[in-house]
Amino acid sequence: MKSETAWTDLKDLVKDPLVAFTIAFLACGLLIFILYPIVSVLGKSLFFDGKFSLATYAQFFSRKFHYRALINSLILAGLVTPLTTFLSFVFAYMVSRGPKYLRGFLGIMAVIPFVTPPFVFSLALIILGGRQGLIPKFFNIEFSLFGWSGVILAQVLHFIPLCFIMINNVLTSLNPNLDEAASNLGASQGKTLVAVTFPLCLPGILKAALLVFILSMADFGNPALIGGGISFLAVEAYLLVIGQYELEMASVYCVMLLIPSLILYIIHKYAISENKYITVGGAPGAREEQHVHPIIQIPMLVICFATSIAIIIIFAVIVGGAFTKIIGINHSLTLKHFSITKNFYVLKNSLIVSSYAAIIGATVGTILAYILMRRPVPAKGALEFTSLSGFAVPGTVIGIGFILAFNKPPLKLTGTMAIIVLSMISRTIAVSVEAGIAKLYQIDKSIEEASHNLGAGSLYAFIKIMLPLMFTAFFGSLIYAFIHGMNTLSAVIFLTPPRFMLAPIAIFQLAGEGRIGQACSMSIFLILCVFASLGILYLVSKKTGIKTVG
Amino acid sequence: MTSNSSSFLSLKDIIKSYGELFVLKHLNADIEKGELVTFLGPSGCGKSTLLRCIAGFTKMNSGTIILGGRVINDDPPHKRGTGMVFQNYALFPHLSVENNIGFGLKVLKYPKREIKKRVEELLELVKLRGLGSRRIDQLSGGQQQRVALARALSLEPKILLLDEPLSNLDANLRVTMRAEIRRLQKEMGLTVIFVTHDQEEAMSISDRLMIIYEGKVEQVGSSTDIYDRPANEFIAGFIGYVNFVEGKIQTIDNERDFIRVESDVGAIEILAKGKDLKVGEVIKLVIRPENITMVVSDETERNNLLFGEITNSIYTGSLVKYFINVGKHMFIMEQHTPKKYGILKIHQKIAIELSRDLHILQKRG
Repeated sequence: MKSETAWTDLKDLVKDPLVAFTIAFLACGLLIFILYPIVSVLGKSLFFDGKFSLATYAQFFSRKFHYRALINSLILAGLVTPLTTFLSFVFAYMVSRGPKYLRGFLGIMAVIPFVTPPFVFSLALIILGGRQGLIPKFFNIEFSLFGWSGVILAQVLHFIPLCFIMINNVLTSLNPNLDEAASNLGASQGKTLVAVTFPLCLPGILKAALLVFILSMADFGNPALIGGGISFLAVEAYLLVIGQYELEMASVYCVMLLIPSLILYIIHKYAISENKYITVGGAPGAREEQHVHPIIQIPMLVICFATSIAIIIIFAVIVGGAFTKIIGINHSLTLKHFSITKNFYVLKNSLIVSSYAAIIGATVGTILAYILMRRPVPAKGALEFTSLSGFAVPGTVIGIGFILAFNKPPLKLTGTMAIIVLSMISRTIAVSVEAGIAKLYQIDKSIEEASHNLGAGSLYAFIKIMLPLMFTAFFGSLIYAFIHGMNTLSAVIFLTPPRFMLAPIAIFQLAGEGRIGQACSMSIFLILCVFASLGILYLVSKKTGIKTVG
Repeated sequence: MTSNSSSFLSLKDIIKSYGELFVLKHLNADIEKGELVTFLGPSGCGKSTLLRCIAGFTKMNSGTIILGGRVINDDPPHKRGTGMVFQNYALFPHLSVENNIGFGLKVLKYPKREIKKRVEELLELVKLRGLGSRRIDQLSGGQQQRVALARALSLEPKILLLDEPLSNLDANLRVTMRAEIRRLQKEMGLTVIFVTHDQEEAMSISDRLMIIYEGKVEQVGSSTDIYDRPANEFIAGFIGYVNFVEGKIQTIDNERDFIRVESDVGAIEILAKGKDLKVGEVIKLVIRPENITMVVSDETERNNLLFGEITNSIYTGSLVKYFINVGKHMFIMEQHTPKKYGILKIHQKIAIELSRDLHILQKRG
């Protein structure tokens, strides 16, 4: 059966050469820039001394030095995920049902860590709890945030926004009548929360949790900066490549990173369906003002405020670090950190590369989404999965994979700007594809059919009809790709030559060298860039009158 | 309209506003035990809001709700003893049919065996025997509706509140289901408030109707009260088709109990027994399709003879609806035996007779 439809698809495809060519081109792109690097890593891990062998794997599992990195990464993800999920749920519950005057504030607090480069939290925690940290200094106690506590704290705070947005989506799409029905049947608020609200959110919560787990395992910046020497997979892989050029073992580390990520991503995408819980029954009524009972509300608000204060302290510390000579030692205000010209070049590089990656990635992704949804394509599922896997694959794996795949002819790209841009695209194209697909579900097929009925050919219809309708998906994913490009570290750290430094790498190095002031000032620049791009997104969506964020 | 304090559910002076918008304005109503009362009114009139106030989901600005002799204003919704069926049913999607129905009993910590027994009884009652283990998304609309009903009945509520429960069903199912609800209500002696904007639905199942318009109760009465003797123009127009003819009272004959009214379609004579009318008063006559008959013989000795032209005819099988133009008025006449006289053609001139038993609307105050 399946081969039959693939064959008919192929025949239909050939009738429209432009589309056929585009698909072939995109498919090649996906194969070369996503599949090929991953396969290279896999391949490298299976070689030792030029011959096929499992010796490297044997070495990995026999020496504690190696396999403890895997264990630590799993433990870290195992601790961070429930914590992040719990806090995100509390925030989401308060934002959707808490006191009206607090909802805006809490919503902003929950989302604001998203605008920072991922390891900025570590930077702030170093300032607070490092060797020269503010906390041991001011409170005169033995206190260090290096190690488990620092990494967990940094990761939790950084992953809350993504988790919050996903859980908030689920909570707000619940039929409000269900709470009322439960209370009409005698259930108190607590009982309703436990017996009705929570079980219905569970699929959505699980999806968010799986994503957090994947991201935690793949995280490079935080464990590197504040891990205090504890071995984690992404960090050790980096050291193996940069320090010892042991690409075989590094590849094994990558496989260890890859397997859990891909498994969980498959579960996340294909095994959990949350729709059946949301769409049963007629259209939900309007949500009446809900008053959460104090017994539930007060502890929740306490948790939210404690977390918010932590976030505010982090930002305050970064600002403090940027504007004081040496935070913790010399608190005279200065603008010195902002005027290092080298740093401006670095920012410019990041802006250029991120812009290229964003524009190309969003365009290709949107076109791909359209083709996957609306055109007969053989092996549609495989293509979609390949484009989405770029998102699930840890940056470290992409970085090392790109080194392995593109360090020799015919595609010698190492050391060029192109390889940096391509690595960014391969990681963010999934967002454009998913956003495009989601948007296309909302656009009825008959709109495009009408355009064909009126004589428009494929390309014309696509440009004049579909693209404008899909604009919000396109533009939203473009901004996401831009922000990602500006803030990403784990892949590009393998691919940038010293003469073409990127901002996150510079911050990373500056922090490592103890130049906290400059690290903070650069971080503030990055944050401002992100704010600016989000501001543009907001203005564009206001102008086109459609909601793009959320 | 003042309220009677000995009735089962008493709504006194209910006021509810959303910001500047007043949805319920000094609303008063009384409902007796065991009756099925319909809140009928156009969209936005406040009937659903009123229901939600009774259930406790919406807080009123002011007013008192007394149920079974007890003021329940401050009771939280889960302690009021009201059973609600929502417009979209609000069934718990993650629970099976029997767990939905048994939810309230589980909250009260009834023993498992007893819950199972009660759920079986309720499934039998709503004719869903054997479907207990199904998931909600496996049920049809009508079945979901019945599960919602069974669930609301599970706690033997003092009063059953139905918020447009049939509006998501197709026409045939609606008719079947409303008969079912009426049957259950009568069998169990339940007190029910039924909210709808469908006047045919309201008229067919209610003991009494409350017409609600712009946050107030406009009229309370049985179906015949409301239809034959609407209190004002709005109510007359809301239920069924109506044509208003305004006229001035010329003469009042107290012996034979009729009055003569001069209108723009000529002189009309109507029965006016026991009404407080004055000569020269301007009144409105409420004319329904059943008040109009076709004149077939040549006898011109008829009362209220009007001459008009047919502008449209709609044949629906058992009757023909004729649109007849008389002066500025468009009357609708229903001819129930189309075979007898054949279907008249458009532009045909026709003579019609107005009944002498027409309802009168006087200007208030």
